[in-house]
Amino acid sequence: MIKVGIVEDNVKIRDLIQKYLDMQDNLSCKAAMDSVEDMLEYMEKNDPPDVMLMDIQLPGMSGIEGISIIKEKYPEVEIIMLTVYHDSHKIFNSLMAGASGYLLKHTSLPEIKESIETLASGGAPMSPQIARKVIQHFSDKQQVKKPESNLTPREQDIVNGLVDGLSYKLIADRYDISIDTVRAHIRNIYKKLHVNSKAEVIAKSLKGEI
Amino acid sequence: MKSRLIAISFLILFTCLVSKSNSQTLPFKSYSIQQGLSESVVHSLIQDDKGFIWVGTGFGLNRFDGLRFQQYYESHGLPDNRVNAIHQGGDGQLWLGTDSGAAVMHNDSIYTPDNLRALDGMTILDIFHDRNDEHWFSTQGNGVWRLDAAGELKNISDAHGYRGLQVRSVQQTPDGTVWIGTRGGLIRHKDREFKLITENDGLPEQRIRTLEVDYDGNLWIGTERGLILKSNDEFYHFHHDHGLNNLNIHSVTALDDGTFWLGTEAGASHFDGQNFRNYTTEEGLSAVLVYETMEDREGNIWLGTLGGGLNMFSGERFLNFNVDNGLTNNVVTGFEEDHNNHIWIATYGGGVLRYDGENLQHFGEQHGLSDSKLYSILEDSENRLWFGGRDGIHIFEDGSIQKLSEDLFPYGVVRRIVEDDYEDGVFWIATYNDGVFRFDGSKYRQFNTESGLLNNTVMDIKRDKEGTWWFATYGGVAAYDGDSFQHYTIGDGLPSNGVIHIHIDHEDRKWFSTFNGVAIMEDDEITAPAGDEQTGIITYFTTQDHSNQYWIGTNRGIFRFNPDKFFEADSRIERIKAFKLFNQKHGLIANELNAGASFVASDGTLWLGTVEGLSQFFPDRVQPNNTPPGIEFEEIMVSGMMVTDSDKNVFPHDQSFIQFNFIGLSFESSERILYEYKLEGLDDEWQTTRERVVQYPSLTPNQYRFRVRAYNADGVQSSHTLSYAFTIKPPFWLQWWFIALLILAVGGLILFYYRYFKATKQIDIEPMRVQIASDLHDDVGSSLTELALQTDFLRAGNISDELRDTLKQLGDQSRKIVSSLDDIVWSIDARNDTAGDLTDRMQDYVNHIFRSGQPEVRYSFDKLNMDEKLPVHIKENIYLIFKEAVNNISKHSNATEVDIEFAMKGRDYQLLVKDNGSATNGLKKSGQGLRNIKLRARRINADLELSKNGGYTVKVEGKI
Repeated sequence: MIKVGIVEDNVKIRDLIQKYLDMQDNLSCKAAMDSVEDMLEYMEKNDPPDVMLMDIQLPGMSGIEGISIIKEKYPEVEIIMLTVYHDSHKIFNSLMAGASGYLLKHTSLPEIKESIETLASGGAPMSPQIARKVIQHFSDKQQVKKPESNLTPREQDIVNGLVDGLSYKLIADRYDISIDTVRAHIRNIYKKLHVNSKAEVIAKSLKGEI
Repeated sequence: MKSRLIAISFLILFTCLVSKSNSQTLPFKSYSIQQGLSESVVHSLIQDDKGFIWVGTGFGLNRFDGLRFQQYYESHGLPDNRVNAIHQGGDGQLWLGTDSGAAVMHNDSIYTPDNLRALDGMTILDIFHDRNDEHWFSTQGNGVWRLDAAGELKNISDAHGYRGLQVRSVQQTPDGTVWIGTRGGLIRHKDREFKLITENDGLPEQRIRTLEVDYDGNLWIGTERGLILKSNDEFYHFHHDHGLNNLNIHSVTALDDGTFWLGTEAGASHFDGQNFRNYTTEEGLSAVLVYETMEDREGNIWLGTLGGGLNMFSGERFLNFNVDNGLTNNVVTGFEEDHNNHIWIATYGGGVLRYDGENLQHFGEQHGLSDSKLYSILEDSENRLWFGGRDGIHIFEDGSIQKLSEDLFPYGVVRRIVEDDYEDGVFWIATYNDGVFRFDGSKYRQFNTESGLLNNTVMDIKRDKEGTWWFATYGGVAAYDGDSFQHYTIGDGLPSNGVIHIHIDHEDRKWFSTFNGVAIMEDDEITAPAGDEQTGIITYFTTQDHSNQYWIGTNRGIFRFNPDKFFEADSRIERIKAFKLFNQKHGLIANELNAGASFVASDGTLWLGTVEGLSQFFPDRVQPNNTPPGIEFEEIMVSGMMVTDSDKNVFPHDQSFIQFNFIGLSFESSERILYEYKLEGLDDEWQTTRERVVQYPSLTPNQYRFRVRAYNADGVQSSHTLSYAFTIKPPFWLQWWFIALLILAVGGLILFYYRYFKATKQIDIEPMRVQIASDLHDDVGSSLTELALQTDFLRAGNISDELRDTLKQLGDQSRKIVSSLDDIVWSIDARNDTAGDLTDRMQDYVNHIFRSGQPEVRYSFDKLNMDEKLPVHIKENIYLIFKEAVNNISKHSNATEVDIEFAMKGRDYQLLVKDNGSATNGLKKSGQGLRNIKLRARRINADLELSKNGGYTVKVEGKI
């Protein structure tokens, strides 16, 4: 049983997603909050969910800030961003903050369910647009980076494949690896993003920017 | 509590008494705790104007609908659980008298109005409503109270100086006089007069229990010492001398026909004005004491007993016999009437019995019967009796029984013996194993499968007017004309080849009773009439009584069948109405009859053999029940919620599971009520059911009217048809206003967008753009997203495919709008105005359109500074031109390769979209698409070049 949490301030959308997910045999969705603050409070008293759906624009703390805090305290919680628009800046920021994927809110409920299952089983979604940002990020010379967080050649291949609009299946075929391996790589890429962003925060704080 | 304990111990005592006495021989249908009555001691009984029967017991009030008791207790508002009196007022409200005050019941809620509070704590024994709209309350020791029409309650007896009266009953005679029955005499109250009449005034007995006024206006007084009639100023006293078996009278009910039912301490008595017919537990009453009597509007008599609950009597139609009252065996197989008009009864295991109208005399082994398992009896023209049975044939002559010698007839298991009415001394014998025989007293001739019979099991023999013999066999019907056999089987329309009995009626129609219903053969044509439950029914015989009514014996009781009505019927309901069932509930001894075990005696009675005894049936006592049954809604449930307010009749689309529970009120055959119903808006035809519930799962949005009516067992329709109109609203997204709103919203958005861009030509304010973008994002976007998710959610539910499809379209449409909105927001969002944002977006779009990876797309963004800002209108128009171009390729081109180039040099920019699709196909571009491209290029003052050259090229060049 995958425990799912939701942070979303639109009551109707939240209720719909919660009800739908809770109806599924393999999912349980008990924690549906309208702010990061409430979710943090909930997680103090209860078991944290395995997967969390998180809106970006929220009353109080923003979703992106929330991700950082939650990931800090509960690194095992996988976070999927929920957003209305393809706002690649925000999506990418949230990935940097530690999210493992993103979904558009108008993604159909069965697809949301599928994404949660994929994520829980070790996969991670990445769209071509995000892949491009990833490439940009890692090739950006100005960024502060830890050496161990550079992309490996295989990760680079996969990101390139994604930019080309290939499906995981086609990427797996192209490099003769399994889909699960592709997923694992993507997950790893996210982790590196996160590590980088943390490093960046540290670097910036050292510079006195924060 | 104490009275309850006493009642229970009485109950136990009476149960013992009842089970020891002879079994039920008259049709008192009994309803007690087992059927759901709250207690077995009945104190009060009425039928309300709807037709429900209300039963006040020592512990609780009950509403009976023919099948079910609904109970009410102190927790529902009763002042006390012992309900002594029930009365229905003109407004339909029930008045209840209990051991601790009075209450009223209105719309299912029980309460004590303030103006009855003075009665609190008193034992109310009777409530009477007089012609001046005044209510009279008889109390135990607190006198008689009157509630006048103005609502004022007053103790009348106290006011006249009679303190502490024990009042039992109040009545009013047509002259307006109110009569008050007390334990110390009768009070006459008229105008201002209040006069006590006692033994000194000639009243034969002054301990009065009950009063009744008959239809001639005479006052009847039930006392502890007999029945008194007060006519003019004379008293007439009826007691033992007149045949009343018990003088302790608790209840008197005057019937429309001028007769009376009395409840006494020995049972019930029917009084025709001169003689009493007494009914006790011997006659089948469930208890010794009868406290209350009532006639319902169908003419059934209801008796409320002490310890035996309710008894319902609807006439002495069956007289029953079994081993408890004289039979030697309960399996009764056949009958014959002898020349002395005595009835002979064949049993399977108990030999034969002779009934002379009073006593049963048994004949068995001691009289020479070699085997007591018999099937049939025949008296021949020489007054000899032939017994057919498991051990062949026995003949009874001159007081002794002789087995027919095996030398003469070596076969056993004889089912039927028939005397040939053409040839003297010739008999036809049907056997279970060996076919049929012609026997002339010394020789026999056998007809079996070897001689052309289809089956050797022969159940019955009949001869028609033309002299043809008809044999019922387990291989169908065989007709023998003296030369050859003709067979009738399933192939000819018989419902089953297992034919048990043949009846030939006055019109020479043959009635075949089979294992799967009855069939009628007329002019070689066989039809199998079926009511609503005739399939799968075993029919054992068909017979005709002296009024030519047809009776069909089955394994479910006996049906009266009217073939004329059946064949003239033009609807299912009319056909069902051609049948009326009589079974155990009507007094028949058992529902499982026996093969061929029926006999019409010369006195017109029907003798019916069953596996549990026999019934003598009096068909002439069956009166049609012409009283229209009542019909009421019990409850209406909408998606599990009860509709309590009948005015509420509009439901949202997701509350589309509707269930109607209704009750037809007829007590003569409460389980045989037929309902006809129709849901206007869905059904075109009336449907029939015997269930009290109809369900409609998932009704589509529409206006409906549910209508239901009831038919009693005689097919009399309820006086009205219930109806409930309701509406299931379409979901908001299918309602015109929503669709209109959606169109308006989208239209408005486009207009707004257009105007906005016109405005931006003058003022290009970044914060405003961002503001508008985020407003659109927040409001319209999330509403549409909600809508899309809502459709997903609904699609996951249990709905029709059609609806699922509609929802899918709706969801897709919403998502499409969100996508378009996404484009709009993207282009007006000032944060997305670099060349990098544009190329990102282009690539996203390409990925979205060419999902399969075909054609191959090559990008060339080399000569581009990704951070260079583009003016909004240029960014937007270039993007839209690009989209149209890519769209055209995806829709109309067979291209395998696409080159996309966007370059900027200084203030000059250039977009190139080029494919390698074949020219012919490439030309078939949508006019609208090209027009859009041209329009947009003009807007940003760019040069447009469209060319086909081994493919199709769109090239836009302009300046920022």
